[in-house]
Amino acid sequence: MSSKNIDRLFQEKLKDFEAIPNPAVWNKIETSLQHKKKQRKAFIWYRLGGVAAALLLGFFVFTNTATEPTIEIEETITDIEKNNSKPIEIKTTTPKTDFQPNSTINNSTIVSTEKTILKTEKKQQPTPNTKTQKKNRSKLNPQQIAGLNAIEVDKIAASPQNIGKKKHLTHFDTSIGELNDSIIKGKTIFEGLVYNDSLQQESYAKTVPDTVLKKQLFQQKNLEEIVALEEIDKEKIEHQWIVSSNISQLYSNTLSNKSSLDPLLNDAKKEGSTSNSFGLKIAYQASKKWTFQTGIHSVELGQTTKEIALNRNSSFQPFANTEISSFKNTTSNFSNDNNGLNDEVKNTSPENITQTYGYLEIPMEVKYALLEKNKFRLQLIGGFSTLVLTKNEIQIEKSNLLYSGGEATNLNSLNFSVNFGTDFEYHFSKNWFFDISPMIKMQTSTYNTSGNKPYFFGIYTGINYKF
Amino acid sequence: MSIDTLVEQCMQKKPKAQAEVYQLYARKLYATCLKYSRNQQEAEDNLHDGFITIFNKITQYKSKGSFEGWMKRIVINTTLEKYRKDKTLNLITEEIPDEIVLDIDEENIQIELLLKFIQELPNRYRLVFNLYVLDDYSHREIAEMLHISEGTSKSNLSRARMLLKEKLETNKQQNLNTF
Repeated sequence: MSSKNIDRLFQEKLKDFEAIPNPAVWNKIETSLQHKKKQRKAFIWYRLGGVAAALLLGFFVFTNTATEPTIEIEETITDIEKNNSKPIEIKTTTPKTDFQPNSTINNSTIVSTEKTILKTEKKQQPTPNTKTQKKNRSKLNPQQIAGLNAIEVDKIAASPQNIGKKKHLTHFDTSIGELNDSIIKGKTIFEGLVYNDSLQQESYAKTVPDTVLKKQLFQQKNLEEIVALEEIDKEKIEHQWIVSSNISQLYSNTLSNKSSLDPLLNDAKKEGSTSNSFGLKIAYQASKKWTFQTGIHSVELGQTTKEIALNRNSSFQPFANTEISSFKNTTSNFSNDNNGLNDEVKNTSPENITQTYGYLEIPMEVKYALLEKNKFRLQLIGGFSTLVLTKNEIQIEKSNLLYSGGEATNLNSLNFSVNFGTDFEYHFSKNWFFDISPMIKMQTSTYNTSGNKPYFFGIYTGINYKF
Repeated sequence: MSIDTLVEQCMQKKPKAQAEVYQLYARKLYATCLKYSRNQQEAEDNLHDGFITIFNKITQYKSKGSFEGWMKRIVINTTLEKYRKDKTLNLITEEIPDEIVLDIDEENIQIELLLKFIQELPNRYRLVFNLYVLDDYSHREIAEMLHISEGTSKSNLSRARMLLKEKLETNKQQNLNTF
């Protein structure tokens, strides 16, 4: 016993005091930080979306009116910029925990209970080192604790100073089962205390049973593992932008056999063309699972109507939906119209009409990662594309000779497609990966007069760079 | 990795660096939170809020003082923010000696017990005691931080000491009785 200034006592004892917080705290911090990041990124995505919409609008305006389109676009973009330049308030709402008075009470109950157990033990087998006993206690099973408590309750009942405590203890006794968990929790707080005071540390190290040390180590290891795991995750999410150039073989075909050129040709044999598409893609990986992508592709599609005969004598346009300048001819369906054919037509070898149309495709697609293993990644893609007509051609082929034709009059200058597909990625380095993506794109409102429903199937391959 | 590099990477919001800063300093800052808060639960909440503020305001750290000191100030401020509004009734100041001396079996006192006693103090007593005794702030600084007068700070401190003394003595008495 010594006389001591109360300030000094606290200062000395608590000087180098450290404690290990519950790993859940870090998890929560991380979630809050990530949430913010996501909010910011979502904002960037909205902005990009806005720019894309402006571009689309620009194209639309450009292709429709072709008058002062640039001014339109600029105005839209400035508007967007104006909006964006406003400071954006990101409000963080930290979840406020409701403190339940119970938990506090429980804590203190446990503390006092522990104390009394300690004392009981002391009485039963007096040893000078209190610390050893305290740590031994952690080995006691609930029954033992209960037993000790029973003894203690009796004892305390006899001592008038401790009447207040008895209440706690009885409460503890009755609900010993349910409190077990909280005892363990309570213990971990104390086990978590790190004593830096060299003397204490020494005795602590000596007396702490192996299990406790292991538990501490385990806790720390756990935290480290969690942190390490999350780092890996983060690294993946860090690379969120992906640019790629890709090329695809396209196979176009149509769902119905109806001809887009002329209803007369509805029964004629048709064949979809094989062509290429190439373009650039920009993708944004919003989370581990979700990716948004857009880009610009040049697409060429077509259809050949086979084995028809053209009558070049008439001055009518050959088909209902075309303007073909090089002929002033009409046609009759070779295969269908056998009876009405004149000699001239009979002498004519079959001709093919190839219609080709090209688009500038701007896809807006969402990708969802289904599988991810080692360097491979399998994703589902869904979305739509805006198609802006850039090429419209009709060619007539006879005995392997190509005549330049004219153009179709019923092609819409703007139409859309609904896209589905999968994407298979192979990551051969940290930033680079290769992908192959079979996609089917169903076109809508390609023609304004025909029931012809074209679609195209493409296998897109590309080299991607993520950053 | 040096602290400066870590701080720089935290400024760029690199998750890896943030995790490392947490790992390096969480124990010390958690201890601070335990001393300034009412219980473990609130200490964890304050640690959480403190670290969020640290990572959000890290660009304001000018590497003049120690990074640890800067973080500690933020954590302390976070807890003050929470409890500052809590008005403690100001009793008429009694004459309490500045130095309170007590007879104590020092060996027998566990850190967790002292911590518990501090946590049980009324909010403002606890804050003032922590700031003045454990973290070396002056009464003038405390007065500013807690929006109170210097006199109030002094009387709060005295009352905190008295309460702690009572607790320690009761505890001692109990120990004696049990043996």
